[in-house]
Amino acid sequence: MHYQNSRRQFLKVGVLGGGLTLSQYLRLHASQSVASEKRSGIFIFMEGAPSHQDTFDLKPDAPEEVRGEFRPISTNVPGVEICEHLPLLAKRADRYAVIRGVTHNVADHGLAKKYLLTGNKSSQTVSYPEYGSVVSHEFPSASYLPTYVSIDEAFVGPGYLGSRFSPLTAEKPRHGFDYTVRGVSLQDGLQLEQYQNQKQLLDDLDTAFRGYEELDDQVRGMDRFSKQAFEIISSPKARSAFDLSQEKASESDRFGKHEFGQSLLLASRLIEAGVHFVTVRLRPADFDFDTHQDNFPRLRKLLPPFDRGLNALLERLEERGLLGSTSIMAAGEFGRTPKINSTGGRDHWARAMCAVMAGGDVRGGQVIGATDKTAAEPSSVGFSPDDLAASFFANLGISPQVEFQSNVGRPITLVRDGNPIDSLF
Amino acid sequence: MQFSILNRPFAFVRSALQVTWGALRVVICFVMTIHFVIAEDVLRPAAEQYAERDAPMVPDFQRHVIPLLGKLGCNSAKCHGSFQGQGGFRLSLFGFDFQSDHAAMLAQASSEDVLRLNLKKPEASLVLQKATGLTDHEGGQRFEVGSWEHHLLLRWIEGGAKGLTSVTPDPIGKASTAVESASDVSNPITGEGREIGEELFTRSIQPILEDHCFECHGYQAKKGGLSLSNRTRLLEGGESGPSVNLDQFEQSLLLEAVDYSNPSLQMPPSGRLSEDELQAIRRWVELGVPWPDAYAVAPAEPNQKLVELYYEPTEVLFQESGQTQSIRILARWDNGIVEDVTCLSRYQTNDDAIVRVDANGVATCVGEGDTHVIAFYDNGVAAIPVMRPYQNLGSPQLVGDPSLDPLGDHSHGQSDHPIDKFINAKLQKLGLTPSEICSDEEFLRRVSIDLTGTLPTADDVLSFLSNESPEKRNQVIDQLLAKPSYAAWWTNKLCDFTGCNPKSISSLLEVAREEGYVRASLWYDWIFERVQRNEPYDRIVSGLMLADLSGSGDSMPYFWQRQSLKEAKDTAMSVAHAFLGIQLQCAECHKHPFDQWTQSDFNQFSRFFESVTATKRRSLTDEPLSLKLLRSGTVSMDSGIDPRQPIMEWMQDADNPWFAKAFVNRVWVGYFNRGIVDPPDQFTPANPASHPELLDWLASGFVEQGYDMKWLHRQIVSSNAYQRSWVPNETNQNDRRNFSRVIPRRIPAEVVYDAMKQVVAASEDAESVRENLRRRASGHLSMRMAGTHAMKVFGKPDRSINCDCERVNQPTLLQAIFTQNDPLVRMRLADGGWLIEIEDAEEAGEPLEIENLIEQVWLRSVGRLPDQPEIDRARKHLNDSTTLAGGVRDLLWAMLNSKEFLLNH
Repeated sequence: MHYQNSRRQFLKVGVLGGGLTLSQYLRLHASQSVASEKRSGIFIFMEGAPSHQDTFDLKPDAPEEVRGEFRPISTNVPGVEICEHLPLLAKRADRYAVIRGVTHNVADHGLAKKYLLTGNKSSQTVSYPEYGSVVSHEFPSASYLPTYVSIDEAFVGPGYLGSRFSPLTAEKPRHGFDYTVRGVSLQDGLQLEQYQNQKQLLDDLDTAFRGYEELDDQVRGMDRFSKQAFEIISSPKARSAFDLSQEKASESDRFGKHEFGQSLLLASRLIEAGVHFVTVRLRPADFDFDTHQDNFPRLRKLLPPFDRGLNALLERLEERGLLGSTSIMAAGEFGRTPKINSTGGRDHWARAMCAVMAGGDVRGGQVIGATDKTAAEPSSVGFSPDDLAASFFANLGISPQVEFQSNVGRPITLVRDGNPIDSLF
Repeated sequence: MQFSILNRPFAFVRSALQVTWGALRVVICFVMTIHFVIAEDVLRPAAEQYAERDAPMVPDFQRHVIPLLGKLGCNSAKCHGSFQGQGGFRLSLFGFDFQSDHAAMLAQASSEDVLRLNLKKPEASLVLQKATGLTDHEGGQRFEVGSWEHHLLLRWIEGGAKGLTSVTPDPIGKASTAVESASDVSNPITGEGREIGEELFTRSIQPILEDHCFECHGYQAKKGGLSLSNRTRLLEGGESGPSVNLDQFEQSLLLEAVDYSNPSLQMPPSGRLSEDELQAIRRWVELGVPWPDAYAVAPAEPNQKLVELYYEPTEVLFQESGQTQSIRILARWDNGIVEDVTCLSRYQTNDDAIVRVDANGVATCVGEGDTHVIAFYDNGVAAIPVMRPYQNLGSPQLVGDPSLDPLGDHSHGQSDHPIDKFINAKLQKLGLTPSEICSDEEFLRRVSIDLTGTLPTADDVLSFLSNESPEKRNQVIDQLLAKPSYAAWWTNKLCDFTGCNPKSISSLLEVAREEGYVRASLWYDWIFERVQRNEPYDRIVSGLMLADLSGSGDSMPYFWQRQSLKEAKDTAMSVAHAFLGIQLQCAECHKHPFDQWTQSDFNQFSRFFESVTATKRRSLTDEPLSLKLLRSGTVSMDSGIDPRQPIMEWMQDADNPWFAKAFVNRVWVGYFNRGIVDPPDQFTPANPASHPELLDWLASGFVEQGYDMKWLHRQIVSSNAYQRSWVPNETNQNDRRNFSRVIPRRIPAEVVYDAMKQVVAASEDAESVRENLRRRASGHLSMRMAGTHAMKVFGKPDRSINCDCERVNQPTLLQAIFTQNDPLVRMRLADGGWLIEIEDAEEAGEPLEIENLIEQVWLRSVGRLPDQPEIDRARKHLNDSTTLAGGVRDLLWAMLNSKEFLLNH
């Protein structure tokens, strides 16, 4: 009996060789693509949702109302083209992979941001953790450092993992201004010595529960965190990690004076110091990537600092030998409409978007996936944000299939519906 | 409208609740009686019945097959219960979707060319081959050839592998008239063509149906009114008429559709079937659509219902580690069958530091304390109490000492308070001596925080300490209950419980944020007014539940207008969580693994809310409905009735199993940081109360008192249980469940914020900084503060999901960073009114008494006077400081960072 059904044939393919069933085959493959070491990570969140077709997925042959004003330029990888306003990244295309044809159906900023920041569609009943909170849970930094820093306040937070895995928030640095971190920097002339004296006073006076520290988790936890907070605030290493004034002017300039570049420079310093995860939210106050109007003039302003910042980040991490141990992803929350609207903008479009990955095991110099002629849909199967998350986690050395005991009384799989994109690695 | 709480059909729920919350003895009697009546008729356990190859009884799909698959783990989330299935074979997660499970087992295995269930050669069935490890099985060997499990499944397949067979209403309200295909005499499968028909159907037709038809015309899905779940349904056809014409088969609608000859009727729409497939269908219709019985897709609802799951012994009492006890589980069905289902039940322990339980229901004692072993079978849950008394470790010389009697002549044990009677009785049983009564200072601080979210002032402390009335604790309780800050604090809690979230009641646009704050504040104010005048709890809930959705009237409509309630099911989950302490979300997609709820329960409950949405702004049913209320009652409604009304009446009924208990228990959590049922939003038979009689007493008292919230608060905080010290004694240091001591817990986010302001306030502002609710994080500022850095760091809930776990009081690194060095804390210390006073006095050269300053630091921050070593250390610091104000600032910094300040103890 022969079955015409494609699903059956597809499943039978997996039985080839070694008698593996498809699910065994997939699982085997999935487990191989999880990095064997735990890595640091940076998620560069291009908020507002940049148009895919004006950045990494240009359609020069599409009709004018679709292709827009920007032209593609070739890169240092033959056959790979990206936007003309990303010239520095074009010269470094061998160091990152472009993933096209990422698709989903949540065209609302709030919900889609949650989706891209967690790899799970947002739910009524479970709040999912951000990547960095998962890293905090799985791979804590040294005690004198925070594990996870969010540059600009976190949008989602630690979700079901619990507030212990919240990020330390660092404000966006501004070029030419003194940089302080809320809670970490000693401000208003407070001297380290005075703080150390205060802590000594605290240690001498905080005696009410002495002898009962082991009795209750609360008491024990407070002692531990109090000590760690003191270490972070007083340690020269942590303070120096946040101290952008230690950078030479030329280095600061390599990243660019724009807040994008300065944020990415800070991210790099933190990773170098041993912070294990940094989320960088790219969302300038005046306008972000949500270009409902004036798409092209706005992108002309946003893309150059992005180009400069990301290029410098990749270059610096490589110079310092850290690119191989850092998993990097850059993406927005969705793509933008193929057709340009009457105000010269592009509107929300979740059916197609793109992402960039680098570092760790990512094989640079390749484009994975594709969209159709108008960049409206993936041309074949496409990838989901869940797949992006699964790939990102795998590259961080965390299995996307790991189960966590949640605070809602049941185990939850880290990325329920995604699989790592094999060809990335 | 007709409203009734039915007793008989839901006796199972009732008795389960009694076991959980009711007086245990009553249930024991009840169970014993049944035993006398039915003892002789108990069916032997399946493990015995199927020990031999040829057991006479054919196993039942619902009573034996599905429970066995559950027990073996086949339908767990990691195996075939996964939403993607496993190896192409998917079962419903944790069972109870009998139709699709049966269909899935009947379907041809796609990965291999073998039948999962081979009716002709049962032993060759793939399910048996896989489970016995004869064929490679990723899940490994589940049982051995010749085991009872093997025999059971084998006998079931030999018996025709039948699913559910009887006729019952559709899961949603309206009765249907499905016909059982077994009684269908025209089915040629019974006649001479049996072999050919069976071969054709199983080899060719079934796969086509599965791959191309069932998605739209399956068990639940009936596009165009057509279901292809069995032969009768096929013949009935859908809106276009019968699918098959048995007399003139060429004219069958089915053939026309698959042939693509009629442009307006082409099936399947995804593309014409292959010639082979079309030929098979033609041949099948020609033969008179033979359809083997086993392949008739069964009705959705079981024809038999589990009435009760009960157990022996009724309580397990251990004396030492390593002791074991076999637990026997019995199931009583509504058709009179009683069966020993010990071997078919799943087990779990609620505390593996006390007892472990194996797959055979054998419990082994591991440690001291009390908990439950939970057994699951079908949709029944049995919770078997397990206890091992504490042994008064390390003090053998005290054994036999009369003073050790927990209820003996001890000032801390003696109490006529009803709450203490319940709690002490259990402490005695467990051999636990409660901690001493706490000091007056500790009591005042604790009760001020818990009742009003506010620290006592220095003056409060001093006057309380000098008060010599034996009634002074009760006096202070009454004074606190009269304060607006009491109303503010408990309004804040009620806003937590009911999900008052500013983001959710504004549109998603950034610009609408202000609107959300305004609305959330109206919600807060609406509750605040009512709490302040002590309006009964049920009336407050009724003002939310029955709110006029047009916004007029004396009610609060925003509960219904939240963005998060997109669909009826969201509303159902929110109502169940907010007012019943029940988590329904698992049952949205599958049977609840640790609870009794099935998807059908969930769907019926959701139906109530279908007519209530924010956009409709009305709430009327369009058609008469008869719906079950979570298996504890049924409501019949005419069209035009507001379906929220019967739900509210059902909740207010004194017999409602959850409404009063859920609230009483949440209030209890506010005082003990642990519920009598804990977590407090998991009222399920698998999560029994630690003190069922106490919860009953509190809940029924609360109802009798007309849902008087102040009565409830007063009862709890006046008990010795509440007024105990956190300092443990030798017996109770490991007890966290029986209220034998107070467990220190971090003060909530709002209290941290307000208390820091209060500690540094100018002397003359001591009162206003507490009573000006417009400026308090627990007062009217509550909504604006939501989502700010300080509130996030200290775990104020967003109120965006249905979970009490959203409010977090675990300590974290960020909290320590906040209290040590956040600009907000540094600013409080720099600008605090009291510190400015000291600075001014210092500069003006006014005399300042150091001792008095030191006392003030302690009174303000931790509500007590410092002891001598503390005074000495503080004095030394002040002497070393350049300025007194600077020195006091350091002292305050240290106290604000102390555990004594940050914990309520």
